[in-house]
Formats: sequence, C-alpha cells, structure tokens
Amino acid sequence: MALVRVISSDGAAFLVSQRLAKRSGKLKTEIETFRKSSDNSEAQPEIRIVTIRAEILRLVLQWLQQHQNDPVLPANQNEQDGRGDAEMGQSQWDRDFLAPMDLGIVMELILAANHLEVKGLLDITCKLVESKITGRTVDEIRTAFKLKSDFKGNEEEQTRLENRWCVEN
Amino acid sequence: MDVLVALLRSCRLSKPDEDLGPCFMDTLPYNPLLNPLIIAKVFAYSGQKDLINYRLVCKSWNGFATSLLQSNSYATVRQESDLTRLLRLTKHSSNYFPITRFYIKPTPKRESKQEHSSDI
Repeated sequence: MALVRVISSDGAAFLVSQRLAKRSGKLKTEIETFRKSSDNSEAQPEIRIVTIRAEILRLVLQWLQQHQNDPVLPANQNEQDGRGDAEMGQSQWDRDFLAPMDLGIVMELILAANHLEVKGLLDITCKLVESKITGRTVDEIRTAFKLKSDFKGNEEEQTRLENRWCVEN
Repeated sequence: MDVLVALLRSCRLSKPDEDLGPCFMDTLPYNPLLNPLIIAKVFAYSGQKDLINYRLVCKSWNGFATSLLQSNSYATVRQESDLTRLLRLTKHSSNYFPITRFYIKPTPKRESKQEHSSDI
C-alpha cells in the first residue's frame, strides 16, 4: 500500500495511505506533483501543511478515513445554492464527530477543510456554524465572530429601512 | 415599555442555548466568515429572516445575503384588497430589491364551492 507522510505545522507526522489522502483535493495535487518531480517511483511523498496544527489535521484525517468509501461527488453537484450535501448525507457518525467540539475548533476545521479541499467536511462544518448564528442579533454575531461594521454614513440605516419591507407580513 | 422590550427579546427566532465564547476567534490566522466561499456555504443553510438580519452585520455579509435574497424573494398578491400592498411594495422597490417578477394566482376556492363545481 502506497503511503504518504503528512506533517502538521507543529511537526507531527501522520502516515496515511495515498488512496485516503487523495480524497483531499490539495493532498492529491501535492502527491501528483511529488510523483512528477521524483525519479524514484517508490519514494514516499512527504507533505508539509504549514497552516494546520496536529490536533486539527488529525480530525480532518479521521473524517476522511470514516468517509473513505463514500462516492466522490462532482465538485459542482448541487452547487447552485452552495448547499452541498450536508443536508442529505449527514450521518450519525458526523453528528457524534462534531458534537464535542467547541466553536473555535470548528472554525479551525473549516479553514483546514477549505485549505485541503475536503468538500464534505466543509459542508457539515459550515452547516454547524449556521446553526450557531441563526436567530442571533447583529451585535451578538459581530461580537462573537469579530466582524466589524464597515458601513459608511447612513448605509446601515438605509439597509434597516429596506429590511422593514423585506419581511412579508 | 419594559414589557414590550421583553417581548421583543423573547421573539427571537430561536433562543441561543449557550454563550458563544468571546475569544475563540483570536487564534485563527484569518476570519473564515470573511472568506467568500465559506460565507456562501454558511448562508446556503440560512432562512430568509436570518439573511435579512445578516445584511446588517457588515458590508461583505450584506452583499452575499442581498444577492441570495434577490434570487429567492417574492411577494404573493392573492386578493384584490392586496393591491394596496402591491402598490406599497412597488413604492418601496429600491436598487437593491427591484420588483422584477409578478406571479398571478387564482384565489383559493373554499371547500364547499369546490364540491359544488364538481357536482356540475
């Protein structure tokens, strides 16, 4: 079984099968690049992921392993509304996987899934974040997610006025 | 007045069951909720009421929520008396939410009337 060493930003090395690693778009590209530049076809690729620490990388690999036999969905499937497959495909395993995580870990996982191009994981983590912000006030969202109001002049007031008639009553 | 404020507060779409930690964003290299791909994914699961609310958070959220609302929003006019509402809507039509489509639907018939027509 062909293996690949994936190394986290803090130096932890994970030895995984290339078949598994290639389910990440980013790792797949990296492995193929390594193959082209290496003379020895038996050489084991080593990929350093400088933006992801061990704890998060372990979670991504764990998710990939659980889902390694899922059919690979075309990237643009159901992409018209960006909704992906979390709606229909979220398993009990995924729910148990996400349940113990605090929001900070989830946010890191979103960045990692985005960077490594793991679409399924990005879908379920984004859906989780939506469930955390739904029903919150603007101020709560701004404070929690460090989003600054960058409206100028009366732009915010104008938006508020538009919102008044947006809601059908 | 206090009662009214309390009522408004309790009318939020859902009660948040926990406090979002204040500083979990500090360790991230950049804010995922300012990344266009990630915003699009998160908003894809949002309802209309939330999207309307998200428009007020910041400019980039405003842009995404507005374009999603534009593609999904419509008003239904069912009765002649609703024409006043239609007039009100067109009057408030703005650059952000121009009225672009009208759907004309018949008034739903009452049960008894339907039975009557089927007898004939």
